[in-house]
Amino acid sequence: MPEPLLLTGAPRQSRSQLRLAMRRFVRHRAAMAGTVVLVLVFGASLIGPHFTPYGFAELTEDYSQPPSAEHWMGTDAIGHDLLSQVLRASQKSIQIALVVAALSTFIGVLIGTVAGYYRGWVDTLLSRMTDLVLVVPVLAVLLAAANSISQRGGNWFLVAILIALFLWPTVALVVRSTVLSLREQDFVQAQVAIGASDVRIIVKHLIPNAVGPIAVSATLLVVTAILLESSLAFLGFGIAPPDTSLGKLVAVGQTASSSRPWLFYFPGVVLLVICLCVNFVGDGLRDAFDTRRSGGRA
Amino acid sequence: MMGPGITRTTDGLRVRDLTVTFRADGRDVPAVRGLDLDVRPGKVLALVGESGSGKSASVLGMLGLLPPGTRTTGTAMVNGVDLLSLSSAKLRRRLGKDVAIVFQDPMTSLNPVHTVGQQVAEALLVHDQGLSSRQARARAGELLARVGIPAAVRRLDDYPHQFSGGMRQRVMIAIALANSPSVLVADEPTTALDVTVQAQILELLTDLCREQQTGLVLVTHDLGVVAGVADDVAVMYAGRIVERGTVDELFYRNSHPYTQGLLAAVPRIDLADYEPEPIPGTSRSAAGVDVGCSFAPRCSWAAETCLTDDPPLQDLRPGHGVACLRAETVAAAQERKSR
Ligand SMILES: Nc1ncnc2c1ncn2[C@@H]1O[C@H](COP(=O)(O)OP(=O)(O)OP(=O)(O)O)[C@@H](O)[C@H]1O
Ligand SMILES: [Mg+2]
Repeated sequence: MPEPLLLTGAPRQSRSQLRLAMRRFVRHRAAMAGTVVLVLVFGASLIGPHFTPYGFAELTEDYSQPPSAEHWMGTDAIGHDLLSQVLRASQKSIQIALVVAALSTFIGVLIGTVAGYYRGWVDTLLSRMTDLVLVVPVLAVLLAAANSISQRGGNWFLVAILIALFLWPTVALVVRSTVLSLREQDFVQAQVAIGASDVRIIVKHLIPNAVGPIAVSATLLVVTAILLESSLAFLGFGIAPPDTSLGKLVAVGQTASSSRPWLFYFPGVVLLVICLCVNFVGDGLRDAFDTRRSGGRA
Repeated sequence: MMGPGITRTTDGLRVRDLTVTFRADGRDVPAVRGLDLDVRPGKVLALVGESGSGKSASVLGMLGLLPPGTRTTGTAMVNGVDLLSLSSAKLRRRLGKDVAIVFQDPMTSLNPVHTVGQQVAEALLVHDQGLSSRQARARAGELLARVGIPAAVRRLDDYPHQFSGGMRQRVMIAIALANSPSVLVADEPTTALDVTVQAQILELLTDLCREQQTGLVLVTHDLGVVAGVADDVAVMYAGRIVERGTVDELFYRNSHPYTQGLLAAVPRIDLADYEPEPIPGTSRSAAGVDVGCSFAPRCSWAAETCLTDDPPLQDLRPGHGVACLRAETVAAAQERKSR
């Protein structure tokens, strides 16, 4: 008798949409694998440097050594231990990516919700602004700005802020369209009718209902940020020496990829793995928050 | 129930000369044309009329809840304040406190991501910053119990999707009455519900309003419902009130051909061979009405003057207003018929 079972399915169990989404995410194999690998890589990049025998900026006597028991990933032409450098670089790249994702998501959500909620001229103004930033040749502008940052000591945090200032539009667009459709729903009208303020409606009712799209676009930003930082580094800007990032290691390593391939492949593979994993996580989030699969009406 | 001076409002809601004009495709679409309404504290006023007559536009209009771009004029006095003269921020502070509304569809009126308890508590917290969240939760439990939700406290942490339609509408009523408003508007609060629970919900709504002296505006197109629960009735046609009075006046001494048509169209199970008789022609909204009585084209009593002169809403008797040039004739005929 499956029918009555369906009708009484989990009546007492309080399950929020968030928890439902979490359950679906955990069941998503690739997303879970991606999460685990990302946590491991980030953990290693934070803890690893305390256990490696060399500092990332330390110059050893071993020049251009291939991987060995002494130097697991080999060394470069001036004696840097590549393992130490890759660990440090991963740490910086992930930090930059996280700061960029957090900051640009914040800006994007703010602008997207305000535009979508108020519509009218507010929306027109903010949307124009969004479009403007969207068409700016990001790399060119970043290059100019990163150049001056490099000269001022190449603070990674500044690089992150700078990148974030150009990446928020994608979030803003997603959030705006989500909010535009959400605000037409009866429960928003019902909130107005009980006297809730606009801020309250936006923060307590619109944003929580848009968590899915926000989370997905935030993860995609992580990849964009890592790649953008890499391009900057590739062109020689961004983090200043002796500090380093994955993009920078790949850029330097590429010039030596035929004679000392390890210099290119180790950081390259780490970069690739991080980006792939983040994409898996993004896929998992999208499926987890897919309302068409939430069973029952939202 | 009846008495002299019933149209005088002490507290309640007093609407005067309300007009609502929508803006669609660059054109003005009038929906309400000069509406007067009085809701007495603790009494139920039924607002009836066919689809498109402007019932929703009227009630949303007087609470300032219509979409931007809509023009609303007139006054809506509640507790000495004209809602329509307030800035949107000031109006927001009155909504949910002095006046509240229950919408038609409870399935979509609750936010799916918050628990029912949170949403009831929020109705309290919005207007009382001094309330702690624990106090709000306790009050929410009481409110849910009051609207007849079984094991109310245990259900505070449930999500809307775990409630049936009828139970959700009870929640919406709890939210609307949370701050004991002077006036509650319910726009067809039971049409989206299962027929079996409609009567219960309506009874709950009217009982609670009477109990706490909240004036209730009940929007409906079901005249059968009106007879059982309302104290006063206002009949709308094409954006105007064509007849208003107490339930008894409206049911037994109705004097507007439209009201009579509506009543004749109600199916009755108490009379064996009763054939409900639909009003000929189609209902119309306020849009496109220029001269004469808007009902004249469908009216079997219509005379020459009805096509050219605007019928004002006039008191036929104290507390019984009719907007019909031939009201006296119609009333006399009605009296003969019922004798
Ligand atoms: N947003 C809008 N824009 C333009 N016209 C509108 C809008 N909302 C309502 N109208 C028009 O205003 C008139 C009155 O509509 P209203 O919704 O008040 O009718 P109602 O009496 O509530 O009918 P129902 O019983 O179907 O709910 C109708 O002609 C309708 O088409
Ligand atoms: Mg309506």
